[in-house]
Amino acid sequence: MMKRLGLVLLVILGIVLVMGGYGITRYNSLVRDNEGINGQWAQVENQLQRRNDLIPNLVATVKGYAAHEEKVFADIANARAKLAGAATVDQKAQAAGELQSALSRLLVVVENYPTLKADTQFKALMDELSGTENRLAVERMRFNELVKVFDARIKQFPMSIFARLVGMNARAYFEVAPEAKTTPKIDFTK
Amino acid sequence: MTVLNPRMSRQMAAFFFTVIVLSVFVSTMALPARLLAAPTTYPRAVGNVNDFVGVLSRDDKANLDALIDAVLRQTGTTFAVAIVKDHGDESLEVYAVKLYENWGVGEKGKDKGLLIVVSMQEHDLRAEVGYGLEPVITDARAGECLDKMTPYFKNDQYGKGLYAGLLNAGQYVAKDAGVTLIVKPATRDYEGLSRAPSNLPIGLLAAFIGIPVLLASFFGIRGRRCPRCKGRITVTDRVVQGATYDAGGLAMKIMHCPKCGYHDERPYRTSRLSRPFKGGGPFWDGGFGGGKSGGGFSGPRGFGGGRSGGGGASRKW
Repeated sequence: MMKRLGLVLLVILGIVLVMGGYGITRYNSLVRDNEGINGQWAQVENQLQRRNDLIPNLVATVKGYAAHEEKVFADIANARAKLAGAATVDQKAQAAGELQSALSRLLVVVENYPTLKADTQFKALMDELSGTENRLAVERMRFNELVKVFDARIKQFPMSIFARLVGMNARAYFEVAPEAKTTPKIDFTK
Repeated sequence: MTVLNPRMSRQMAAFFFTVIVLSVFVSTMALPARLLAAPTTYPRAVGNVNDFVGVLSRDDKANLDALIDAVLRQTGTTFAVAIVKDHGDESLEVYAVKLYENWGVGEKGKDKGLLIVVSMQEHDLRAEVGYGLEPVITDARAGECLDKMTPYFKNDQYGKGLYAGLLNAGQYVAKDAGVTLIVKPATRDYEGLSRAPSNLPIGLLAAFIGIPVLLASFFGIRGRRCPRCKGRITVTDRVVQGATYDAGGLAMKIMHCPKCGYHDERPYRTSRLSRPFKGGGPFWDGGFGGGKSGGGFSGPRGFGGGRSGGGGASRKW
């Protein structure tokens, strides 16, 4: 009687140990992936900041040629201020979208000034801006890829139960407002 | 099994049950999520200069290889070129950064690489700069290098254009590394391009690169104008029959004017794809060489798993 009970207990203990050990490994790997996503998000924020810093220079150069286009400059200044003051993620996303549209309008204005387009300083700044937008797109793409893999793992059974047990949730993708999706570009061949 | 008694069978059942539960648990939780990713295929690099269309001559490649080799040896930075017939549904920016990662231009961790992607159908050109090279080849400088290439590209001089642009980039890299770039071009006609150091005044530079080319771009006569209405024409190069390692191919230069509907198509032959050879090495005759390049074959040099973050610049020509 005791021997049988002992054996059953041993088997149960064995199961618990193996599952526990396995559980720890899985948990750690989830944590690693989650931190990887956080690290990638930091890259995205870097690029957002970089874009923000480039804009004053760009505006100053355009003003040198097209000083009377005041409305566009005011729009950009307002959008930047709004972005700086945004607190929640939703506010930030909306402000970033407005900044994007203001920038696109600036580029439309620039099309009317061929001498501005030929200005080397302006060309350099536009290259920098396009480069930054592209970097933003790349980091965002990498972020979303990491999130995709992580979410797929966490949502599949039986990992989903385990994840809920330890308090790991699916991460959100970095969605972009439709007008903010296109990189501002100037066609220098025109 | 007549020795089986109720107690033993219950133990065995428990044992097997445990094994089954554990194995189900282990196998399902260990399923890799990587099964989701759909693989995209990118062409394999055969060297640093990869012409998948056949618009570069052997001389062009020799000169480019000489330049790329010099830069790699003297500064540790890897330059690479990819000429593709089109970049598919993705934008050139996305294609270039993925190709860069696929090839791994530059040493892993250092990421000092520059990849020039030329897409023939869309006439799109991009310089993709690795993470480690971004401080030296800024986006603005990348744009400057591409601006050196476009006048040549408009006249179908792809080799010279790439050389001029990469030389410009090489000079920035060399200055940053504190060395003077010494390049010995493989053929005579490239020597003029090489003799233009970056600290000479712009006037002398123009003389070497070709005053007619510069003047044409200043006066806005970029490439060709529509013979009927003098408006801008869109030019595209479409590959009709791809070149292979055994035979050249056929491509079509299509000129179309959106204003007056002028349309002209000009076919041209593209050269046989060739495997690279060390700059200055023995040259095989076209008739004999074929695909065999015995002692001279070397794969890409300086591809160590580098990464790019999307920095660089794009142009259309």
